[in-house]
Amino acid sequence: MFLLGALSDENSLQLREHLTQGCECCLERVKEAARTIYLLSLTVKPTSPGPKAKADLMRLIRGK
Amino acid sequence: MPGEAKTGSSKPLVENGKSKMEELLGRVADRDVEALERLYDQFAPRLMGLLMRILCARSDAESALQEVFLRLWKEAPGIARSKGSVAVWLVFVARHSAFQRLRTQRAGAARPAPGPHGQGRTKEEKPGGRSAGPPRREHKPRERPSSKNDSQSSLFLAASPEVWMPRPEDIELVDARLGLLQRAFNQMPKPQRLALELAVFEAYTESEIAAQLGEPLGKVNAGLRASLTFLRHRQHAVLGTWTADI
Repeated sequence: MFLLGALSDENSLQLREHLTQGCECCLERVKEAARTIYLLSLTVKPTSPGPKAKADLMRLIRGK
Repeated sequence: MPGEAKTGSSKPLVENGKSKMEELLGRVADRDVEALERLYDQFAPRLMGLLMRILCARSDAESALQEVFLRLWKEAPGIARSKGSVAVWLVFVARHSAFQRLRTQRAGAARPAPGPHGQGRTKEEKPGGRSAGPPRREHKPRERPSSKNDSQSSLFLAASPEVWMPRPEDIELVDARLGLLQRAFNQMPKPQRLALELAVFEAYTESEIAAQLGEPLGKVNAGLRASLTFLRHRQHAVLGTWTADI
């Protein structure tokens, strides 16, 4: 819920402070949750971006 | 010269047991444009599917996709140092970028009234039949835009990737069994899956989901937690034993 950004601001702030203190157990749960959210995020069917999107990106990269 | 782009590297994709994506990330950190292009070719369709699911409009999704890869180009050295999975980093940055855009759109939707299906999205903008889950539900128009622009979780994720990012080898295992895990997602009770979709793809908080569904906050909260616990257990089963009955 925290990683989804779905917690209330107050609860989210409390958990963030707790994690920042380095609680190993909770950080392990966060890693596990990150894996779950990664999985959920990829339940959609892949879609190819248009060729122009890639060309524009590569032009920007090469110009940097 | 630092920051100068290199092209044309012919290094093999797998070296010393390192995964292909992490190998490419190392090369991107070294300013290898071809490596970035190969990461894009490998991962852009999955990110684009996610971005279109969240944002609907192809132009918005492509713009967000560009932002993700520009950030990757800029932040690759730090991501490589964190030793986390670049695939997870890409997905979380894509989600963050899309959610920011969606919330900005909603904040602007205090402007002209959205169409009968809410949130200003048109049927023409919706990609059809892409989700492994149920089709997108038409939600009530929101009366109040979300106040969140940068949540506590995104601040945490950005500040300390080394402590939360799963290792590449864990993600390779998930990727290899993605189909089974998707089945587990589809086996969830419909109300729980719906609430989860609102959090995962629509950037709603638990209280906003309760308002959308017209359910008490406590019930929505309990349902979301139950669905995440269900998925966690199924994930353990799938990743721990091939014979697990899911």
